[in-house]
Amino acid sequence: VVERRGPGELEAEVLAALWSAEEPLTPAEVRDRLPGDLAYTTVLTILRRLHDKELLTRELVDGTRAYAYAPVMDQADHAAEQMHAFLGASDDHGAVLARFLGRLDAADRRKLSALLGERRRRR
Amino acid sequence: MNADGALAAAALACVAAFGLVAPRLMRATRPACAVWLLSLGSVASATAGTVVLAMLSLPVFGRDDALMDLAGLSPRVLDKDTGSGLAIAAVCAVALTTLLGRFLRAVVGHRHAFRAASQAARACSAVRGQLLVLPQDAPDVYALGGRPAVIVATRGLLRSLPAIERRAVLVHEHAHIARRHHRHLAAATLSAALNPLLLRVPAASAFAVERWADELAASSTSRAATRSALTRLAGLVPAASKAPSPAALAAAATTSIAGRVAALRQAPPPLSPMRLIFPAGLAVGSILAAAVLTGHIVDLLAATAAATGKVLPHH
Repeated sequence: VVERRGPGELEAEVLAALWSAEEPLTPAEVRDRLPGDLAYTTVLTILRRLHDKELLTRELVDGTRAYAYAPVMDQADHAAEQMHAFLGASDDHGAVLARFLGRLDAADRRKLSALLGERRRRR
Repeated sequence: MNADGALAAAALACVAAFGLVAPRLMRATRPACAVWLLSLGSVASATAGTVVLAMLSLPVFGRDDALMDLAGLSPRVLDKDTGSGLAIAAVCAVALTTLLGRFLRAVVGHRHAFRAASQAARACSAVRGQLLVLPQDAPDVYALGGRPAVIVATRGLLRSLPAIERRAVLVHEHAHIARRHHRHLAAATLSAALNPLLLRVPAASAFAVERWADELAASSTSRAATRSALTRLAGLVPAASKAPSPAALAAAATTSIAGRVAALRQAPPPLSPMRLIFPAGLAVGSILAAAVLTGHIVDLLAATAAATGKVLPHH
């Protein structure tokens, strides 16, 4: 069962795809970097919306009428500074935060590598 | 033992049993159900425990016969002529004050962290969606449950994952935000601050919350992709040492990745409503006992106040 995903989630996924690339991407290239099969027009709409929000820059690809999109960098640098200041200042009351990996302690690491080793042996 | 004493003892027994049983809920049911039961149950237990402690402390505030009688768990132990009843009441009053202090500090800490996260998110002018990407090569990703809530991921992380695993990670973090997991974590940690019998609940809640988000990620991608993202990132992110300690789930150093990977290697857990009845019953039992006791205390205090003329009679 695949859950329906909101427009915010799709925007985040498109943004993540652009950040994962080294070069600006055309809508077709973005679509290739997303799992599943989104409609080209959907990708195009999301790219335009992100561009309107000034999260993306775009430039015409030489000899075509298609735009290639890239994430705006200087805003991200500013954001990184802010976030770093916040994380540095915060103490241990952080039920506000949830990491994908939580914290990995030594015992957990051993268990995990044992689990992975076991899987390899089974193959 | 009088009737109120029996009620108080029953409430405490329920709270203690819940504290013991709750951490094992994850083995019994779906993560979402476990999370909700842990949250509601720990709030109920913490409330009940506080009411009982307040009741036992009452004689400190007046050697009134009725108050002594209400607090008297056992007429022999709490013999008001020997003053031992007053000694027990004094111990309970000290414990109550200490726990309330602990609770208030925890509340202030949570509010502080929530504000700090909201401020950080707002200060990032780039936040005009739910994803904030930091141009750093060290892989890291987390959700900030402030207002606005935001997912923070580094460029390094996004570049180190294949598309399907990128989606698994984003869906996982989005689940934390959309299902308001930070509120559940707060309910568990604040309840544990108020009642030491719930010591093990916050870690259980933190693990259940991660499992819940993992299950949603798996249903948007696949169990294999979510598992793979977890193990890949476990190798990439040097976690504990490197994390700038937002102590995300500080209470839960045991947010076991190995446990999550193992759970994702099996089919989604069944709902098993029958196995929820016992812990839910404990929570309901403690809160009912506490409600009845509160009613008695309020009646008694009103009667006492009226008798001593401290309160003007109602017109």
